[in-house]
Amino acid sequence: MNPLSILSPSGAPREDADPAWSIERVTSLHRAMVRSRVLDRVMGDLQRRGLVSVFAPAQGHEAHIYGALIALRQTDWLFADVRQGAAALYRGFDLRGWLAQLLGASSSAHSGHAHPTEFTARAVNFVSVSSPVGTQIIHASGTAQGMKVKGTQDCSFVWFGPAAAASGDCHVGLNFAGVYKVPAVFYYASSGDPAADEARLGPGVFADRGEGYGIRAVRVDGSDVFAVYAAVSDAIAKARQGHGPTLIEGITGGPDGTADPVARLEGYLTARGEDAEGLRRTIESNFEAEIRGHIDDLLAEGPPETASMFDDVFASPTSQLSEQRAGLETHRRRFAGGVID
Amino acid sequence: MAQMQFWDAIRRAYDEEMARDPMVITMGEDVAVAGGTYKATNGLYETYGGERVIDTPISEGSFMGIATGASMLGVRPVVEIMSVNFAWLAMDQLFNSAAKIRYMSGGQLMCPLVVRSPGGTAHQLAAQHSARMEKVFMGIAGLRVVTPSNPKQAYGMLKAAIRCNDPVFINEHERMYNLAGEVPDEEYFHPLEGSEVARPGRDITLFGYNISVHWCLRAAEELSKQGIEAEVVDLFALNPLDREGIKASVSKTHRAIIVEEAEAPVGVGSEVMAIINEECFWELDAPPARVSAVNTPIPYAANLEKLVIPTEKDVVSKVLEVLGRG
Repeated sequence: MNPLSILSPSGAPREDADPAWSIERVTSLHRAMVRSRVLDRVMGDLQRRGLVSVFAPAQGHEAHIYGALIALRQTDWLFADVRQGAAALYRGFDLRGWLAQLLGASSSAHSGHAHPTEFTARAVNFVSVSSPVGTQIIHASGTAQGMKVKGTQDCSFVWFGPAAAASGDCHVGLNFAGVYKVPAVFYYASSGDPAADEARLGPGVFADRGEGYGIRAVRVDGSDVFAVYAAVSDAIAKARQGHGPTLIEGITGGPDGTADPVARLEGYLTARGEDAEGLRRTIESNFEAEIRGHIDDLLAEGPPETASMFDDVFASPTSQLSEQRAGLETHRRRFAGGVID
Repeated sequence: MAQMQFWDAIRRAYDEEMARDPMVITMGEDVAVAGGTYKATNGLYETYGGERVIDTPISEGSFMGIATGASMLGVRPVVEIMSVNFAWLAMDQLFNSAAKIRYMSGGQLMCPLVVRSPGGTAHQLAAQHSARMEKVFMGIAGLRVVTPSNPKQAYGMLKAAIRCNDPVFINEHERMYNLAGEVPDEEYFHPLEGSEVARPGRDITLFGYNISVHWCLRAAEELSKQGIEAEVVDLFALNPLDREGIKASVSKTHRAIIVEEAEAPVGVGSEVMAIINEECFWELDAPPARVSAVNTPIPYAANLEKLVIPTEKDVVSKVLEVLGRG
């Protein structure tokens, strides 16, 4: 199965497949990909400073992420692996709120309850990965089944990597999807290190597994954002028309193992007469300043209120939780200014 | 009030809720075409169709995850696990995803999911079909656990659980599906927290749940002939346990025995004893005691199977022992 490819490593489109989008559309896609890279850099910095416990960068995966996002619509549900947290921003989730979750700040929509990579944004239909990776594949199948029950034309889209692909959850999620022909798109992104992937998944072509489940499968050059867009668009159209799921294997690093998705798109922009490097530098400096401004505010804001540890265990608290919350208040009064505050 | 069998009371709850709300669906092994191993979903497939009544592949981890994913969307899935022993295969989805997603997302997402499953010894189904697992579920934050002892509870709990916005585990018993009892003709919702006094008494409290409530009631009847009035408290909710109800009864009778079909370690009995210690230790006239199974898997041979779990006779003799008449 040959991977679908549209942009050459230098960014030249295949003549028969150039999407020929308006330059605004291409620069907007480029902006999203560059911003993702800025986030990687700043989050890496925060991690080294001990302000964020864990962050998985999206570098090298930008085509998998943004090629898919531009093909999906807002009402489709997204299930992430660890590298796709910034996808929620592309869908309109507020940057400050996103950073608040990573920093565990008081204004976090997650009340400081979630691990930094376990980012959920219900308002934009973005659901977190679970630490036992692979669960998101089943959740995507289940939500897609729910969409059939609701009678919507939406679909579920899930990203996963080699660790999740090796889990039992990957098997049962794909098996259910194949049996019930759910409107879902399963996007496997390889790690970019073929030897490491082979050590986890064996020497076969991952997309070939689709055949065994009766699921249509395609391979795509994962450094080529146009190719990812084309593959995902086609898969979604089939899902919406009731033709069931698709498994996409996105090859990270491209078939030659060297390609960079951002550089490739910049090659394309340059060929269209844009100053790609100038665009990138402007995005980088503006976005980094915006992020740093929010971080300063959030660090000043402080951590979540202590009693919020009891929030959202159940829809309404049990009497034990209410007692424990009251106990915290008593404790706090006794040790005011001491151990807890 | 009509007499109804346990399975039929569950089926009625399903039918009413599925007719009312198109978002209620059910899934599990053989729940659709076959109508459920215990007939609890009988006729639903014919009425509501294959999109809402789903025979899943035999993979508990799969359908628990499918239900969890669907519930995030606002669908209300009721999962039947044919035997609770197989729930081990679904634990990651239930414990790490369904029970935690509300907390982890700061209330952005919820899993209004119901899981029904029978446990307990039936008729020579042996170790991998007879376990009691309520002890495993009841300690998990974010997961409600209830366990009906009669058809009225089975009906009202399922209806309440379906409308509850938390994941709820309903612990049933393989030998209770044909049990008959009165169920209100009108719609009824049973609370998912609390306990109820199944028989009032003054001399000792027998705490039971699910099938052991019946052992306690039969033991109380027998003890009554000897002039001992035992109070039977039905702990129909296991998470949360009703601390107030436990305290109220022990403060009245000053003696307590917990009766469970499961083996004792880290179970309902040990948890209730801890609550008694915390809430009303100074009310006690005798140390609390447990009547439990021995610490073995459930054996196959009929004589052995019968011996490893308690009976009402064990309850009677434990009461006499606690009262110093043994």
